Amino acid sequence: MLKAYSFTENEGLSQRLNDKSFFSLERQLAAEFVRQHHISLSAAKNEKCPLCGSDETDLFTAIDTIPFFRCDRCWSIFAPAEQSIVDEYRAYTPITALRSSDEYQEIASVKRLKMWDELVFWFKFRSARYFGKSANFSILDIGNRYNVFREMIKSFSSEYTAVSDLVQANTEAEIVLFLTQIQYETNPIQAFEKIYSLIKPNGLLFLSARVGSGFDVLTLKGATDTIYPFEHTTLPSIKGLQISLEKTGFELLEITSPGNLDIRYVMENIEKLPDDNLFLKYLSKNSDESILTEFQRFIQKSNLSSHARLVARKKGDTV
Amino acid sequence: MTNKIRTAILGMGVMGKRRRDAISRHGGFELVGTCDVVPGYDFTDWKECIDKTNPDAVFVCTINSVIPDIVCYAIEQGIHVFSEKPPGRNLADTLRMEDAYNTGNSILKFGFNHRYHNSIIEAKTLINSKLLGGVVCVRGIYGKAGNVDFTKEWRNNPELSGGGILLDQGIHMLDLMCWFLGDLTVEHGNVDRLVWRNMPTEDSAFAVLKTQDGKIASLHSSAIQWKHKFDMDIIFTDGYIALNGLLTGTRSYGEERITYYHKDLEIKDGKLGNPLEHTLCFDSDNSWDYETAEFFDAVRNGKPLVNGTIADAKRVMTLVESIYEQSR
Repeated sequence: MLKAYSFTENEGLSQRLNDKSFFSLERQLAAEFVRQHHISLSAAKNEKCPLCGSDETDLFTAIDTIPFFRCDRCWSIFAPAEQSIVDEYRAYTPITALRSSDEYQEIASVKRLKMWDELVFWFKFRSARYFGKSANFSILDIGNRYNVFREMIKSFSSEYTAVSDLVQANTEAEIVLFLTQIQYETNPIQAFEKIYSLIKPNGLLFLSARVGSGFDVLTLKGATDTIYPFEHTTLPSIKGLQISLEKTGFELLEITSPGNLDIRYVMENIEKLPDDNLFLKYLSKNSDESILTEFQRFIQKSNLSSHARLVARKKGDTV
Repeated sequence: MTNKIRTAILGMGVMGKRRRDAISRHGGFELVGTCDVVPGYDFTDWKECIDKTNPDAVFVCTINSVIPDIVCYAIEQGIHVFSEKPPGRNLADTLRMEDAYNTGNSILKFGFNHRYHNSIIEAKTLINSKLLGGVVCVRGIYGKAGNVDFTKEWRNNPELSGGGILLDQGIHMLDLMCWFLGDLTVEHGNVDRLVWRNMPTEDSAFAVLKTQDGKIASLHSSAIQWKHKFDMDIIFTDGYIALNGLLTGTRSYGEERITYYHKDLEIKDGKLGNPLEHTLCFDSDNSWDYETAEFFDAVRNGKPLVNGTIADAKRVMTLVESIYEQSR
């Protein structure tokens, strides 16, 4: 594996990408769904890590009454939910209607356009690195719910297929995009096996994910306002991703954590942290924007951010 | 029967040992002999080593003055050759090896190892893909710290080395510039002894080079940087790359990284003069393994050599010679 870490030089802490009012509405609708699908803690004991298979897992936190466990071996975090419930959540009409509305799409596009530009560059750059060309691939895009982003990807593909989730995916492609989707998979190994079957030999998987080993996730635990059931069921760690991809036959080419919102998330929720978390309280009270930005850069560079992305290759004959 | 490439290593200094480790990691080579003028190896005479071990391939890791004799002799025997840079002490040496190569049937590869560094591979990817537009110019600085016995090193004895810092280290930068920009000619070259005044070879080299279609490269190769330094800036029509540091055996050239950004005339990133930069850092040096694998594939699998060809060697030695010539 190419051992690389990636970071960006920012002038200050990045802004959240979500529109506040839409985000709080999504959050409410998710909580409403969760109230109807309670998971009792007693029924969720002895959960195995869905990434590395270890049975050494501990209760990490509970969010909206749903328990989340942490794997002692690979540090992945997961909720012991049934896949059918997560699938039902994804198809929950109030949420799907909101997300497909024109207003939601428009605001998302405005806030995310720059990020999508950067992501498209990343796809092209890494494709050039591993394929020797930066355009004209068959691309299977799984779970991308943003119309504008889909059009941007389509523009450099030779054949573009977008599906709403992994269950719907049945087209083979040279490149599979699986961006912020693993969080909906209760059995990531099975998900990676299916993705493997959809990639042509020597083809590439581009994956991005919120990761459980990231700074804000491990620091905030239940005080987080960005992780919630069943939007987030599986938060693999960097190590968990590595183990599960290799287990399913992928060659992991590179993994980085270029996320830039960890410090913002923690600082915005600092009052919710226990009083004895003195270092972060001190940091919050005594650090200016430049120090916090430098701290975020260190987190990015050290693969400690809670947003990771990777490129993996399906081993096999030439495309 | 083994299908491994029976290999002898001639010259067991730092580079010989590094190549020995690399071929061992590769697994496709069988080491049949080692040779050095310093006792402790299988042979002290390179010719005897070749004649007695009859290898399929040799790695030539000797001082510069011996390289052409060994390369030419090995090729005459039908042996494949991997030789360290520089390809001889001067262009005449390189041309002599070219003649041998043209009359023989051997693979001949030179160790322009920097092409295999991760940051360089990423830069080449961005150049070839044109994702940042076309390259316009390159400026490179390659500096060495020197040491107490620097002036006494064989590298600074022109009889043995052929030149100073330009031939020892600047040659890598020139090779990269050619690889990134295409064929270059020297517009202006200057070598000098700016500090080590009694040394017979230069401690500093400066050059401005140009391609036929007007791309510019500037080089500063220095033995008086007083620290180890590798920096290259590549300017594109739509962006920029900075290469800083290089992972080496001593790790003294710093963290190896590539930073790139797009030009942002419309200030989409929010601040004029400060576009969003992306940096990739590397904490492993795979260059020796990649280079060994290319040589193996050429010898064993008939794959054409892409890097370190005799044409690359001739091209870069022509530039070196021209820079020296302009300083006389």
